[in-house]
Amino acid sequence: MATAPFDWNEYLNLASTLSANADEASQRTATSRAYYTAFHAATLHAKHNGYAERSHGRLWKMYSSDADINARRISALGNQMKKAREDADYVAAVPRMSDIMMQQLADANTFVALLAQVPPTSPQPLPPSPPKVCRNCGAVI
Amino acid sequence: MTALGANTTYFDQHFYFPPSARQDQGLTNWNYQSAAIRKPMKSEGRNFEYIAVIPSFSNEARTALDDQISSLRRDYGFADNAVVTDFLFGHRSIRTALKDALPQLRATFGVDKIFNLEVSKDEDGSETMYAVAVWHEDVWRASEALHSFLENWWLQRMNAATSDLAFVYKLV
Repeated sequence: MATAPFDWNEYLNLASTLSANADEASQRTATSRAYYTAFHAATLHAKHNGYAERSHGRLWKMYSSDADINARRISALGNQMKKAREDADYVAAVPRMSDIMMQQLADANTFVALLAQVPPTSPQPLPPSPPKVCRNCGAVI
Repeated sequence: MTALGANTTYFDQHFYFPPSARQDQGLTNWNYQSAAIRKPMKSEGRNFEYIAVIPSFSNEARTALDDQISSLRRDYGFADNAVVTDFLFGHRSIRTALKDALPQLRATFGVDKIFNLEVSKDEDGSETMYAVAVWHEDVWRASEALHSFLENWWLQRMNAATSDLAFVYKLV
C-alpha cells in the first residue's frame, strides 16, 4: 500500500506550536523547522521543471538566477531563513533566539505566499557545477 | 564509454571531456589544450619578446586583484580571512557587487552598521557568501531594512554570476 506523501507544511504547524514554549531548544527547533517548510516547498515547486537535487545552496542559487522577480525574492528570503537555521542548528551561543524564531515564522508565512506567485515555468534548473580549480596551480580539486 | 586505444584510456582516467567529445569514440581528439601535449610552433621564437612580457601583465592583474580585495577588507569584516579571501579571488562579479552594494547597504541599514562577509559551505560542496548586516535594534526594523535594500537595489541586479552571494542580517 502506497504511503501518502508527507505535507511539509506540518513542519510550520509544529514550529508554531513550539513557539509557545519559552525554552531555547523549542525556539531553535521552531526556527529550523520553519526553514524546512520553505526549503521543501521551494524544492517541490522546482520539481515541475525537472529539478531533482537536494542541495540547499544550489536551490537558492537556481531561484536567484531566474528571470522572474518573485523567484529572486524567494531566493533572498530563503537565504535569510537558511542563515537563521544554520545558526539555530550549529552555533552554541546565539543571541536573541526568541526574536529570531518569531521573525523566522513570519518569514515562512511570507515565503509560502510569495512562492504561490512564482510562475510554474520558474525556476529553470542550473547546469551542473563546474569542477573547482586551484587558483595557484590550475589543477582540478 | 568504451576505451579504444592507449590515448583514450589515458584521457578517460585523467581528464574530463564534455559529453560532445565522448561521442568521438576511437578518435584521438587534440582540441583540448588541457589534454594535448603541444610541440612549440616553429615560428614561436619570433614571438619571444611578447611572450616574455606576459608574466608582468599577470603580476599587474594579481596586484589589482589584491588591491580590490584589500579595499573590500576595509569596508567589510572578514569572518574567516583565508576562506573569505579565497572565495573572493574566484568570484569577480561578487567582488564588484559587494563594492557597489556598500553605499546602498549604509543607506538602508545605517552608516554606523557593521557588515561582515561569511562563507557557508553545504554538504554537497556548494558555497554561498553571506554579506551580513550586524543588527542591535528591533528585529522587525532589520527585516524592513533588508526588504528595502532588496526591493530598491539588489533584486534588479541579481543574476547567475552573483548567485553565490546573499545579503542577510544577524541579530546581536
